[in-house]
Amino acid sequence: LSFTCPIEDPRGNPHRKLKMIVVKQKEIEWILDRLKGVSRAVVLGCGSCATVCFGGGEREVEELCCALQLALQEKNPNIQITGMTCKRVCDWEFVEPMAESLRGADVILSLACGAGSNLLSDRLSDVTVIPGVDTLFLGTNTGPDSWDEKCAACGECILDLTFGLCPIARCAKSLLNGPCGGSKNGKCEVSEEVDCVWAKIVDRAEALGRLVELERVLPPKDWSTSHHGGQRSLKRSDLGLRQLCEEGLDEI
Amino acid sequence: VTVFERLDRPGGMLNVIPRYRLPQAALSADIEAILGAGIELKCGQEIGRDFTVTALLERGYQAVVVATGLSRSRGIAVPGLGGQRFTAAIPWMMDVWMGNKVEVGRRVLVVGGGNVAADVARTARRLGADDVTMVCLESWEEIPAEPEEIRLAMAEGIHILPRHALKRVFNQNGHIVAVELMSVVSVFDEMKRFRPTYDPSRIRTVSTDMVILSAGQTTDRSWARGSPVQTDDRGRVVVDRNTHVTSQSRVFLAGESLRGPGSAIAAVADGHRVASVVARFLETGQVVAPLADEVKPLESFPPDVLQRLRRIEPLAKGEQPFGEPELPLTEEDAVAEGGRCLGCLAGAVVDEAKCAACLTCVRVCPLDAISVREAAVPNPVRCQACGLCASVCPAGAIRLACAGPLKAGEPPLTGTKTVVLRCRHSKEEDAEGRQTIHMPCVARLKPSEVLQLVKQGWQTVEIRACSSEQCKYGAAWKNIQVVVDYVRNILSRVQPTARVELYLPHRGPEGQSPQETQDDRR
Repeated sequence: LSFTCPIEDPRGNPHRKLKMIVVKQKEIEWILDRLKGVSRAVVLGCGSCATVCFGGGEREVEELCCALQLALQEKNPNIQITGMTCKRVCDWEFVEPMAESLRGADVILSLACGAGSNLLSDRLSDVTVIPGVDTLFLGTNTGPDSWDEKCAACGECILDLTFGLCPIARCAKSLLNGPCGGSKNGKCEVSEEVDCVWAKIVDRAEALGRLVELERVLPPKDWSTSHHGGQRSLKRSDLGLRQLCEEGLDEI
Repeated sequence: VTVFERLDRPGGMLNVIPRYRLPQAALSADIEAILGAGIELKCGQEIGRDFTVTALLERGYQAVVVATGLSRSRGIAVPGLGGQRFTAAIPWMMDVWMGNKVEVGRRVLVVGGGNVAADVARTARRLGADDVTMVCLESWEEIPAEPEEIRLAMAEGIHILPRHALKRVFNQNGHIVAVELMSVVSVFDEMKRFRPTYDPSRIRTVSTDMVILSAGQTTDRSWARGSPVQTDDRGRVVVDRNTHVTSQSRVFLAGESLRGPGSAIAAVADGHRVASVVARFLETGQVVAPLADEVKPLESFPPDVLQRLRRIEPLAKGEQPFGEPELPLTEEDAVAEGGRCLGCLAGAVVDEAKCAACLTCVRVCPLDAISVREAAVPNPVRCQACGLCASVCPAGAIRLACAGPLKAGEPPLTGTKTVVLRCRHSKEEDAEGRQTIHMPCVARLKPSEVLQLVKQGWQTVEIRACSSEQCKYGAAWKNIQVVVDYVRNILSRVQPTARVELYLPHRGPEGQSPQETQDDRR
């Protein structure tokens, strides 16, 4: 078993701008179920978001490799399980140097977020990719071991209208005009542990002396920027990067 | 090698450094070590007065190094100066700190704003002067003394009067009674050259009974006159600053008389430099400049450490004035100092390429010894190598320099397959016939390391922590319970027969014999 990160950062010192995609490792029984009959598996960790939220960094790769080998000692003693961690699975340049090892496996157990796992399948046509984590949300940490969703990536930001707190991500109903009748003592009726974000928005408006602004009614949001039009894309031809790159970016 | 020393003892200007900064024992130890190398010392011998360069060369010395330093106080021309209790800083300080009888006034005026002036002022305070004032040409911002020196001087009640120059000294019956100070307009001209301008109309009279002049130092070059060593039209010795050599190929110049004013240690370094030039000259007959030293300033301590550095404390009222300046460490500090290892940097080492800057190490470190910039940066001054950060790092980016990967041999084919992990600092004996692995602290165990042992075939992993009273790392040991619970959870699902046992010494009331309690949660 080698736990080394076989990748040298091709761009020197990277800017660590983490989007903080929060992931959670799947139950080991679920994973074991999907490794039946597999003879070569690679557990692939991601050194960015998934590391930061303790979902799929080198630490989890090491632990999961050991745990899987222990679990399969009798049922599937010949399985080869290799652990690897890549700096950022969602950038193919980081994955490419280990592509050879990945192609040699029957199964990649990806501890990267859904985006990274998709990229693996896009690029490695003959290897099965199994998600080792559930991708939960875009969030921030609220303590050393806890994270909360803060953004739903709806495609049209309205934080200017809601005093910087997002009701799309943080209200159970994604209400644009709140709070609703289920708000009680600052908590949401969904659970006593969930804050009512509209109560927070009102508090914040009041603290800023701008409570009156909440008297206006927000019109329905344009959801066409969200998930309703198929896969979303972003193209920035204005940056002129395509012309600057020798190889076309199409292949990425 | 023979050293000719003008004073009655070796050490030169280091003798003038107040003992509260440079203890006599430290100075003597250095000098003894040097003389112990077989150096001949002749005291009371002054170049130009007792002997000449030519005489030395004639007596068979193959090289002469002149390192007479800046041993003279620079004078200034002021009407009235010269009465009793007017003195120059260097001879006065030499008398004080070499144990000769000195006079000190009740109200002392020190003229000058450099580090020496601050030393003079603080020395006068220690000798019993009630009122000491430092007068300098420079403004507060321009004062040449180190800010720390000024801080200490002021803390000892010394008055500082910037932007004033001595204009006249009033004497009565041969005694100084007062001085007239005039205001300074500027000290430097637009080319940053020292060219003070005054406003003689703005006068201030200060009564005082002693004036000590500390307005810079100069070197005594009279020895060069009439010697084979060439001087320029201003009497300065002609010398190659790179090779130290004068116009006479066997005569070299070094130290402050060559480089100008600086720190004592810079003069010592120049001594090392000239020694290498002379040694080479004696061996090969050639004078070659040594390779330029690349001087890299040490990185300064982080501000929080700087605050805790021991300083020479200012004199408190009624305090023994010549007391030992260095305070001993408290017991707690001494234990902490002994616990860390600066030389081999035993603590946390970060692989920046792996670090995700997640901040977990910063959050868990009990000693506040790690911070995150682009990547985690351990502070080797604070780190005590407990390994908590290495244990929790999600990126596997932190390791301890003092601890390699955990290694256990294969378990025996027959008999108990139990491996023991133990704190290196624990006082208990190893059980016989069991493989025991000692680690800096069991708190630094990673869950994957325990899993690895089970995978190797060990059926029981026994972890023996020391008690929190014994724990060198304070709260770090709490982590072991977390790790054990974490690993048990995984093992229960993948290898239910494997056991992880944790022994925490019973922490009963004092005096009770320590018993072990086995934590039996699994």
